[in-house]
Amino acid sequence: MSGIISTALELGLINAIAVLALFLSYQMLNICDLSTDGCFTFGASVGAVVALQGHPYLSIPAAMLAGALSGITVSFLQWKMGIDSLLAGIIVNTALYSINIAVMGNASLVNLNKTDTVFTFCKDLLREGFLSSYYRIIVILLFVMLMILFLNWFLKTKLGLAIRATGSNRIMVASSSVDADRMTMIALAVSGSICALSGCLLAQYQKSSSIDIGSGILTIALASLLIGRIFYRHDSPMLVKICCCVLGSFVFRIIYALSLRLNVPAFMLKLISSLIVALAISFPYFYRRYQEKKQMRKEEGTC
Amino acid sequence: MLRIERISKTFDPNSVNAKKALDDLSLIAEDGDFITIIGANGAGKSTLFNAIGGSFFVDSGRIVLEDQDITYVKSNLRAKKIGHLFQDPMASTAPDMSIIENLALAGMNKGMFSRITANDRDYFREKLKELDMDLDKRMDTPVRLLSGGQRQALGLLMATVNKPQLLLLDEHTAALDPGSAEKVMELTCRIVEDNGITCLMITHDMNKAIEYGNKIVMMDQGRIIQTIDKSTQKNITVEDLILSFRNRQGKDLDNDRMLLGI
Repeated sequence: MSGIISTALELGLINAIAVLALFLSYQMLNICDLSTDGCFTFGASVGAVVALQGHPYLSIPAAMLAGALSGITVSFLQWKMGIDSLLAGIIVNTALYSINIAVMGNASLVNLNKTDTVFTFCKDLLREGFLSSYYRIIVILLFVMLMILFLNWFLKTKLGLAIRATGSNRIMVASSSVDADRMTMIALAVSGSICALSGCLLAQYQKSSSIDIGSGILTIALASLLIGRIFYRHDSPMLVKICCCVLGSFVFRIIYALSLRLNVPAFMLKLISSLIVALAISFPYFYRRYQEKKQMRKEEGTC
Repeated sequence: MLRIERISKTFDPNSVNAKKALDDLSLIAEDGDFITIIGANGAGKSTLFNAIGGSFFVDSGRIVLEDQDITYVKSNLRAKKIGHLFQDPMASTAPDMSIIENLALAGMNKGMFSRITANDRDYFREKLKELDMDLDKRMDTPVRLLSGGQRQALGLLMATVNKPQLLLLDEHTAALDPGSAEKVMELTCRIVEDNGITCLMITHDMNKAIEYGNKIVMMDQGRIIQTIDKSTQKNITVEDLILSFRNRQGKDLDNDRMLLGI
């Protein structure tokens, strides 16, 4: 039982890193980056291949660099080639499918069973200590904390403010000294690298990477993000907003675990996450409709 | 000093909808000038501002600001020297960011990775106090919770916190309720005068055009048809303006809003 819980916790935390990437691109920059799935897999495959070559630490920066490259490509298609932001994401996502297979050496699966990873490194380090059985969660927590601190710092720098302004009011930015295209490129590069980090960690965690390791991650992360959105207000401090994303990822995992308890088969995960996203996004719309109806009834009553 | 030399702009050229929005227009604003611009709807007032701001490049002519030819300079580079405020109070601030973050974005002249320090907070708090809207006590409030007047006042502060070489005000009080409009106008005058900012202001209210500024420019069909220097014509009235327009253009100033503004 505790094994199931800790696995859920660990997977939830790895997922939370992808949620943080979306927090930057979707919540702050207000762009839905549809290349997220491909970018996640890109990070997983690049990380796996580099680890396979015997460089477990190098796998992390390599994966992040790959993710940044994918983000830059998406913004390049928008900025310099005049392609709509959604379409640019889909195009890159499709292209990444071929690239990922090429990266994994013309295979759709890379096995890391006997390879050193950041996890095995930590395990060796804690060999005798009392924390030795928690080595996985320690590695993951470390990265989650790093990303939380990084985002909290980044979004408050002048560059971060400019990125947030770009997402918050394009009209204002168009007449200001902020270069919206450049901000989009930087933000998508950073969010891409965080997303790829998440993929890289998952691959090393489950000791394999496959071509569909990232399929549906966008919807899952979006669902987590929107659940997390419930827990903070407009005027909450940035750190609270960021932590709520991680919390949202947990709540999503709990919902998922509960549905498994109800004997919902595992392959239903993506249907559940789609439902959550659809409902969460449409909630404000339904709420407005409800308010209008109520208003109409009230006016009918007075006639 | 702003020098506009014979600029023209035609939108949708070579089509049935071709529209000459600016027609061989020239204008000079000396340092410290406060010029009010009036004219009917479609006279090209906002188009002139957008040309100066760089939303598009003009077809011909030159725009020179402080001895620098900015005719083909990108708009976000021009924005470092030109403040631009619009009619819509939502257009000048970022709603999801706090008051201090909006101000810091506009007025913090430090590196990309610098953050808002305690000194910056004190500096911006003093600036906000000058607005006299109690915004200095709510610096961490998201801007979306402010009223239109407060947002426009903040926008004005953001546009002027680093003294711009030119301030463009495009009917910036037209969408506000009368009380807020008066307050924002009063702030505008104070900030412009205190800092000696060169300023162009579009207004549909001819009383305002007469009340504020030192020059009045009248536009029609993409051209400037009259410039009135108030130092030489002190007692000009709204009737004078309407009459003068009729005499020059052979038609009435056909703008309901303009007449109602009287």
